[in-house]
Amino acid sequence: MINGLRFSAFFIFLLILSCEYTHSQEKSEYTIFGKVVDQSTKTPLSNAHIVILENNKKLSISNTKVSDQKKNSSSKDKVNISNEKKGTTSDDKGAFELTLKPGNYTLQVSYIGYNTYTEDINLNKDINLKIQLTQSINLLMDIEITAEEEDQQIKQTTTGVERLSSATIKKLPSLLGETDVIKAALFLPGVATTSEGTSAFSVRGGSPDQNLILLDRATVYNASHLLGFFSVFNNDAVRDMKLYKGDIPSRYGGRLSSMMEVNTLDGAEKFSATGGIGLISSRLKLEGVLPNQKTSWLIAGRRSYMDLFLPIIPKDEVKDAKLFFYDINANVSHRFSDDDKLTFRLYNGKDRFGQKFAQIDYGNTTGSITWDHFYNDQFKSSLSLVGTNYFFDMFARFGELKENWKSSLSDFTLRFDNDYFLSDRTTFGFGVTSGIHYFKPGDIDFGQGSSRNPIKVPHNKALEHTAYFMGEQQLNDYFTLKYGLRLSLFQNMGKAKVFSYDKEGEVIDTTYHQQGKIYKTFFSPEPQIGFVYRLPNEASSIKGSFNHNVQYIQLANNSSGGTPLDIWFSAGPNVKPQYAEQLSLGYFHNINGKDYELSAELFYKYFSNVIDFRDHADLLGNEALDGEVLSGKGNAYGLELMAKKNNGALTGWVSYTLSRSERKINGINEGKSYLAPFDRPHNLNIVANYEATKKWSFSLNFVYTTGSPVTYPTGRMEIEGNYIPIYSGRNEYRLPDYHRLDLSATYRPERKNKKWQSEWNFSIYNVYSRHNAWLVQFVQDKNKPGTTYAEMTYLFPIIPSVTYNFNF
Amino acid sequence: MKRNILKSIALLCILAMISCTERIDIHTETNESYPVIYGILTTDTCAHKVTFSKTLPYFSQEETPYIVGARGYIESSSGELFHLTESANEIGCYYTDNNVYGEIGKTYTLHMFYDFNSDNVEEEYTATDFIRPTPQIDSINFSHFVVFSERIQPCISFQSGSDEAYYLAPMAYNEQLVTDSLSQFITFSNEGQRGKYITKYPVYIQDNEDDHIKLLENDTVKITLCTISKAYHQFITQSQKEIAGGNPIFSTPPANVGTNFKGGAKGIFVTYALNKHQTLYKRNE
Repeated sequence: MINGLRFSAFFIFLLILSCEYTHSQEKSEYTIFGKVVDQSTKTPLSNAHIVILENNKKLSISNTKVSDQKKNSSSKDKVNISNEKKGTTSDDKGAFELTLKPGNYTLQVSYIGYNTYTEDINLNKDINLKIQLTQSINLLMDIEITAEEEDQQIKQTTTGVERLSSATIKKLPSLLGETDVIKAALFLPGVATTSEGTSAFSVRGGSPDQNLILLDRATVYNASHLLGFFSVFNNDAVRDMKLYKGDIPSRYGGRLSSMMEVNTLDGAEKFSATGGIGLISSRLKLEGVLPNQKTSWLIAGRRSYMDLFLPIIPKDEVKDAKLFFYDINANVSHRFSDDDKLTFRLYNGKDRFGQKFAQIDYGNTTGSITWDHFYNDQFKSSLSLVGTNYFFDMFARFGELKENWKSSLSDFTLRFDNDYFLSDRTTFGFGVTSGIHYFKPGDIDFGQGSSRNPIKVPHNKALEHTAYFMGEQQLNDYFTLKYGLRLSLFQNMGKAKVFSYDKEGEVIDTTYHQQGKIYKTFFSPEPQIGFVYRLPNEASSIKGSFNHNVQYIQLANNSSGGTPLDIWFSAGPNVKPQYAEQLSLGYFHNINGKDYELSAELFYKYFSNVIDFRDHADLLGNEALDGEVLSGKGNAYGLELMAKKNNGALTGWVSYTLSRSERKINGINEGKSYLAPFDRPHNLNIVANYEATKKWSFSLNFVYTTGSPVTYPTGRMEIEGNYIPIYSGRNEYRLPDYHRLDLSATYRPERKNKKWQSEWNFSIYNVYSRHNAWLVQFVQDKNKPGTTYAEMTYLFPIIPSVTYNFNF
Repeated sequence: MKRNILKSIALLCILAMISCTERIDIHTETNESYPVIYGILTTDTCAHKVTFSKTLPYFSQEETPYIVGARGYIESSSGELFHLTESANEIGCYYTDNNVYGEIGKTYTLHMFYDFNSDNVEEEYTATDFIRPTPQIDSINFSHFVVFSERIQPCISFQSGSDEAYYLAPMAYNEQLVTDSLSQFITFSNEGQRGKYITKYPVYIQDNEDDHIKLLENDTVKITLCTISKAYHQFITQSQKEIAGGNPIFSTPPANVGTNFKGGAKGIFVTYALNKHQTLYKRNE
């Protein structure tokens, strides 16, 4: 009841805030209200360039766009310009507004990667325009598909959001030439890898399972290929990636630390093919539109081919090995009318590695079908059915010892999302979702003839329903408020076998729940509020946000590296949901338009019920898995600095993060506070790209991070001929600091064929062959009694690679 | 054994990677030192041994310091006392008389006394265990398979108890102990097999190309089955994990190995009943 009252009060508060801010206009001028969208997807295009040309008459511009009103109107002066182009750019909702004196004008709207739109206008009244841009054929390079509005960094209300376009990602030097979305994200402030060569990452001191990774709205539970050396995202199919470092829009949720939103491309207007041949894998993307001009399609695939070369290696251990991955992205989009579109997106990927006697298969399948409907220029709805499946299978056979393991996790979610653009100053979003999770943590069979009973870790089902409301209001020329509330309901559903545990995690009782019975319910309101205050100098802003997030499912994995053996389990009678509150405050400054962007952000996160596992926890094939879970408190705080150069021959950024992440959980480290495994006090990234000539460009990455916290032995005891380590406190020491320099050069030969374009990419990973510790082990020298030493394993010394990319 | 399979696969995974190793200097310091006691009492009639040593800093280049001058005894739940006598030949080793044996169904407590912190007052360290019945091994068989090279897999068949049980299975070829260090101990549970007849349970994988002790035709293979406590089973598995070290993909964070001693000592005192079975190794059987 109290929660209901609070919600009502909050809603009324929002309604009050939604009262429109009005201002006067002079009658001698008329306004062009416009909205720029992608013709195919209806997606608003931010930063489209709108140019107005007044034919041989003097042009007076009194206003450009909503956010610029203050700047122009406050001066009270009309700027008289003769025969000059003037204009503006669309905001993040694709909207723009131009107030002009009556007259004849030519309007031009352009956007990188799209055909330019031109329209003659006789301005004698206020007019509304809906401008639909069509995609041009993708060029091989230089497409900044997610170009940002000139002052996007200053204006956008979300704190801690980072964006990378496909083109930016492609420019970065990469391991074995495999361009990778997640590896690119690791160069952003506040983001750190959990271990060399893994796709698991930590955001602002959180654990990898606190990151929600979405591929076209579908959750990807394990985003790694080849044990994490590469991610599942084929950059050819990716349009852009956004990383929300805690200030997750209310539309999504379920994770404490971040949301990585990866969106794939729609098919182009004309048939085209893009591909690449690399050392590890090759890829091909085909896209086009059907003759009806209403249905676009795209299919992109990759396959590694290390396995094809293994038989020529004379070592038995290698020549019979199976080692490959593949993935496929397929998108089909059909436009029924200007207002209705149906989109189907599918991803399927799989890894296999093993030998005759043992093999691991794992992979993801995600799919979504979405109907977008525009009621009018202001109101849009999307109805989506989204599904995802992650599976892990393993078999091993050592003589009489056989084991066949199968585990999986599946989700199906129905989403209804709505966006209402009340005005250029006020927007709302609201919707509901309803979904079901199927957990199959592990079915283990020991083969025919085995006297062992198969192990079936209890399967679980859970329902998750959410309703959300979010809004953004520009209250005046300086201050914009953002707010949202997400209500989530999580229910454990039978058939289920639930254990009760004593303090030591030993099973003391078992309860059986019938099929379909709801046996545990959690309800959590997740409020958020944020603001942006744009300073009068128009080049700076201050932003702040508060978020309360909840997480109902988590990973049963306490290794520091990414592993294919991901076992997810849900909150329930024995495991409470995890909560996090995050406060962020940032200062953002642009120099010379968007040429240089500077930012500084402070954050503080407080975790409740954050989980860890008992010492020596057995997480694999353990029926009583939740008995191994311990929960407690944690916090993370830090400062993120970034300086970015966006234009010119030399582009790139430098980022530095100073942070700390700690946990305090009864039962671990004698109940004393300890460093989280993902604590990285110092994290420096330098990314640079230099377009030397039309043919040659060069890129550089440099990364430096403090070594991961680790637990080292301080003492030893000898029993039965072996030295057994004795450890100090959890994570009291650190691995050696990690640093690495990567370089790449791209050569684009002169085009001899109008259709065929190509480029060669030469890259060197770890140029100075730094031996970065992946693992430190402690060895007892059997030949020298009393002697022990530490041995470090490192994965990647200097690795050169070459990739050939083409497009026709 | 499940973990062994997973470890094997993990190793396979690592083989697939580009990885290199090198020694590095790490400095960890501790001024703390703990007593370490390891004692075993079985149903065999013999002199049973307790070793008493102390811990060292991990990177110390000294050999383990054993403790002399301690005293102790083993007390049974029926009131018997088996006094321990310090060995004249083996430093830090304390033995019962050679006619001592444990009995199934009895609880035994080890008491050790020593002034470890040099304050002229003896500290007492105690640990207790219970002797459970151990099933007889009915047969030993051998499987052969190839994983890069030919492997020989000795397997045992026996009737498992109906309660939760943990087993230790030391093995010897021609009376030479193969599982002669803690890292080679073979321990397993009857999880999923309680009350069942366990057929051909593999207890070891012999690789004649690599192993320092070879198994040849007509060699005598002796396997001893012992029913041990869960605490000892965990002590062995935890120790093996910490001795081997972990890799970041599959392992859990390092943690101290448990103990059943009270008074601040590390190590373990265990009691168990044992049954032995032996056979000749025949390649073609």
